[in-house]
Amino acid sequence: MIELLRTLDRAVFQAIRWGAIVSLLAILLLLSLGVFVRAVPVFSMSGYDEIIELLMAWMTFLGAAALWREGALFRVELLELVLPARWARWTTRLVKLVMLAFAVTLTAKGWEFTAGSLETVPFLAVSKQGWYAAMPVAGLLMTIYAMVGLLNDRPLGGGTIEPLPQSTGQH
Amino acid sequence: MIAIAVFAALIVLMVLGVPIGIALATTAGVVMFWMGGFDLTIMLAQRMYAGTTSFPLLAIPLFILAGNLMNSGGTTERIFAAAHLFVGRIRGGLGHVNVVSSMIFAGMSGSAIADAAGLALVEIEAMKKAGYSAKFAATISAVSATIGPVIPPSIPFVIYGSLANVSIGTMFLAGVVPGVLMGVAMMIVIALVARRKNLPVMEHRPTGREAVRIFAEAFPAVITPVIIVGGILGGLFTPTEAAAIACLYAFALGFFFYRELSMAGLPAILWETARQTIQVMFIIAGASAFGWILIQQQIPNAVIDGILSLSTTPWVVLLLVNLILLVLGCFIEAIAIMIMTYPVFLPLMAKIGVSPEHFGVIMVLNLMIGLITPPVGLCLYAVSTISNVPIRDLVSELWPYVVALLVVLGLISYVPEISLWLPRQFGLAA
Repeated sequence: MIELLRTLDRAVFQAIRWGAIVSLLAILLLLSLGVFVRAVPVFSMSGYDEIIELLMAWMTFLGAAALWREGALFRVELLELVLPARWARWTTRLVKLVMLAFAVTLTAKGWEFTAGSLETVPFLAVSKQGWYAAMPVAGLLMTIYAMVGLLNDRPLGGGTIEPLPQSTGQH
Repeated sequence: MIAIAVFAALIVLMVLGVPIGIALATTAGVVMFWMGGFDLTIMLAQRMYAGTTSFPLLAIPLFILAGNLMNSGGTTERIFAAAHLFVGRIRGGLGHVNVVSSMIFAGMSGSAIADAAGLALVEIEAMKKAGYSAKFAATISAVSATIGPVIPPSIPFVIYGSLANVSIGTMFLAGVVPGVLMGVAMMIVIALVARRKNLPVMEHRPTGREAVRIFAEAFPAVITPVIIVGGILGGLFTPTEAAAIACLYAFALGFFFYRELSMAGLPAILWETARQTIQVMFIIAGASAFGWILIQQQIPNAVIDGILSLSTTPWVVLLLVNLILLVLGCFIEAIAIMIMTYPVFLPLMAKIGVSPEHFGVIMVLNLMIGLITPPVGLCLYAVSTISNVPIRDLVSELWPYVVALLVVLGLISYVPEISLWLPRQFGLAA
């Protein structure tokens, strides 16, 4: 059972990772195409900003859930470094509780906002709920990660930026 | 009183170690609940969504991507080699090369972190090989990375322009002279330190043929700001689209010209860019909700009244605003500060006759100093991670450069022409 959950966790993380990569690439291509089509008007590019908004919303909120799992959201680690270990553990628990409360609120209020939206996207003529749904979905994932974090009692990770891996040609 | 309680709650959450975006959103959520019960907390979702999907902010991932493509595609090394041609033979030359490289890199990437996490890697290695201490090399790299967002293109100027309703092209031009001034100030300090510490002088002098080859290789990278800023000012593309063009150009350079980028390496670059983007955008989401409660509670007016009650003399008000921004910069992430404070300071600046373009430069320079001041100095963290030099060692070496940047800040604050001269030449500032 635990192994199945771990496999599921890895699969979700990989899906978010690749989703973010594809979203970023799509944003870049759509914007570049926008410039090209304005210079050489071979076809119309109306409504591409709506797709970009969709990609950006899902990349940001789901991506934030993935970084939450990695402990990679920016935070100040000062207190953990200066407090004695026992106090630091209690501080970490308190932080995890605050994060859980936020995650539950984002899920509930994100869902309420999404379900209550009557907006439609002008060009694509579809409901905007698919755009807003990024929040409750990300909130739900964050809630799960927050509960797992509270149970396993591990320290939170730091949000420092890591350099690109060697495989990308970084020196 | 409410203003003090709100900011105190935020700072307590952040110091406890709650991620910055969540600390901002949680504080906002609690105030919303206090203002209107559970019903009003729906604004948390509404503001967080609105904060992340504004069109000009799309430039953020793209300028980060441009920086990462340069770091991975061999552009960074060419820039470093070209800078070496110009200033490498002075005593402590690689320190100067480090600063000039960052100034050139700044013309392609709008992100200090892309400089601190990428270009700094090349700079620190080269300086260590040449006999400089890791501490000195890492410090200069962290400090010089702060030039990135002042010389165009610039992510903070994109955000400021979209928030303050100021032309982003004008902001880009307004950053050029201050950015160069920052570089000159850092080089003066390096020259003084080089004399005192008897830092090494490079003995190898490139031949004429070598110099031409190095310059020719770096030239396509060096002209990038001309393409980006020229395209924006010429009306060819918006700043967001300019960021996309910068990415395509950086990709073309790395893939076709320098041939150091591979398709297989792209997913890692894109994921790293997405990670850095999400870290920033999630803070913007939280800050957007926080900014909303500030306005609802009329906190900006209270802060303005508070500052004006101390003094109405423009230079004193400007000094107080600088001090507030510098102190906030020690504890809060730069973009969050910008989103939280622009509704407070922009009307205040209007009252004392400081133009929004001029104030934009002042604010961004304050925030860049915040990137290298502990405890929350993101450039310090980034450089410490890649160089394995502890933060405390960086901080002990850092202070002369911070003093130099404060002098530049003073000049920029009290001599508006430094920021506004170039935009005026293009008819873009009053």
